[in-house]
Amino acid sequence: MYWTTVKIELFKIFSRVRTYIGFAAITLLIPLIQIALYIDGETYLEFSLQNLKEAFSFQGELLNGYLATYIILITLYVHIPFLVTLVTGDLLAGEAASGTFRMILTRPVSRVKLILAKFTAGIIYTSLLIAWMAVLSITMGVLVMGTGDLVVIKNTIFIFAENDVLWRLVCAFAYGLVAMWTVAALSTMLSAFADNSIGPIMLTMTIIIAFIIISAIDLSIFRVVKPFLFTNYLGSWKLFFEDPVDYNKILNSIWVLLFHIGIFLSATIITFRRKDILT
Amino acid sequence: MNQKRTYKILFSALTCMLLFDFGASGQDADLLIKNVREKFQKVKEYEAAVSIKIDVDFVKIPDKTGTIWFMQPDHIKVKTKGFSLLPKRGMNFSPNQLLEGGFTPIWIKKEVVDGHNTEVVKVIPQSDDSDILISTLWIDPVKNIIRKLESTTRNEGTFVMQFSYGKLYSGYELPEKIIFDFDLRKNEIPLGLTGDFESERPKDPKPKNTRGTVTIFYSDYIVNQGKALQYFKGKGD
Repeated sequence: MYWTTVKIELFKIFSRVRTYIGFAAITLLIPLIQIALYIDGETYLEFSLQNLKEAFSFQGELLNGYLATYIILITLYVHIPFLVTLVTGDLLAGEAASGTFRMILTRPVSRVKLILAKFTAGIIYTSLLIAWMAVLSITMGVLVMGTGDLVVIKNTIFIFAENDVLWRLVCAFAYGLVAMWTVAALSTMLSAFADNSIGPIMLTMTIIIAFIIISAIDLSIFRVVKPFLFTNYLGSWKLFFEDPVDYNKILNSIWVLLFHIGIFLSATIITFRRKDILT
Repeated sequence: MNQKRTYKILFSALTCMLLFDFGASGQDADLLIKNVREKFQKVKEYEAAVSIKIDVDFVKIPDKTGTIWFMQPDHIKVKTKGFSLLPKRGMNFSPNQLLEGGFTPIWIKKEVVDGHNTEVVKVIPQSDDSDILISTLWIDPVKNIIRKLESTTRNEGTFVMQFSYGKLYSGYELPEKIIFDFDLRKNEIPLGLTGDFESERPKDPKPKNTRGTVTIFYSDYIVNQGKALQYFKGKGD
């Protein structure tokens, strides 16, 4: 019964045009970034590594498919939440807006099961979106620019051997899944409060952007708040690109995100159970 | 009177000794460098396996292995698997690059380096355009090889090279290990390039000077057998 509801919800999701906006955007953006990097990536690297050029000569190519994938991850991880929330923000609010809730709730499915089925469908959509992003960026990057060592420029410059990169990228995308599930849970929760999907989508993005800005501003008052903002843990996939990898920190971030998913989902269930369905 | 005469003789003797000593030392410095150059000139070309270990506090890179080709006077090429950082000065240990153009050698003292007796010679380039302002060489006078070298450059601070020699390769004394220690400036990288927006570490906008060390291991030299010649001809270098 539960899986039938999930399938129905998935059918609903994939019947809407907006579901394909995310896939279309990724299909368009990733090749665009990769072509731009292929043409002008050397300049990007030259500028980033200029202080090393004073003492070292570079031997070998750093511009490759792995670097392109890493740059795509850095560039898009702030924007992908928008593509996620475009669908998940509509999960409950969309039904309210179209006036189909009463009809749905006449079926022998409890409200909790309905919420869980909708959330599961949202999670599946999010996972497919991230998986498509991973497959497209890695395969296309490797096909266009080949493989090679990966340079990661942070406060420390990390250079990873070619055979030490792919697992890091796969783990980063896997972490990205959990991060985007959190965004999906947040927008589903906000969706439970609204009667149209614009509100939850806008509010989710406003919260994420505001929290990221707070995290980025290096002021003492924000430093106190920072550990309590879930957005602070969205980018922890970058820890896979350090040596040694701080697994404790990554696990801690995963737990924080899962905790948020739990909170958001519980809040959604509580709100929806008490909700007076008028449409 | 006798005492005055004794002083006079003593003073003359000391003056003679000092003059003789300085004269001999100046000659020695020239000779030491000439011997080192002549010895290295016999190595027309070589191919060797290299292993490069980089130790810079803000760079983490795995050790790299590869092949190095050298051909007189200063053609050098290194090829490694994947991407490598090669120290601009450290790979080429030929004394030619250091002693090109006119230079003034000054003998300083004797010193023991890693258990080997060496003669310390300072070398001052005569050209105003030379990037190296002054170099100090620790020369092994028995084997006519450089054991240690310290140079101060116009733009890149100071670098030190320590040479370790092992077995002879086809009768030639070539280093098996070079420790290259150098100055390095660390600039803060703009956030937009790092994507490191959530970094908890405070950013320091001022460039910092730091030291870097590169250890290069050389092995399996093939000397004067045309290997590097073939390589450079093939590359059109």
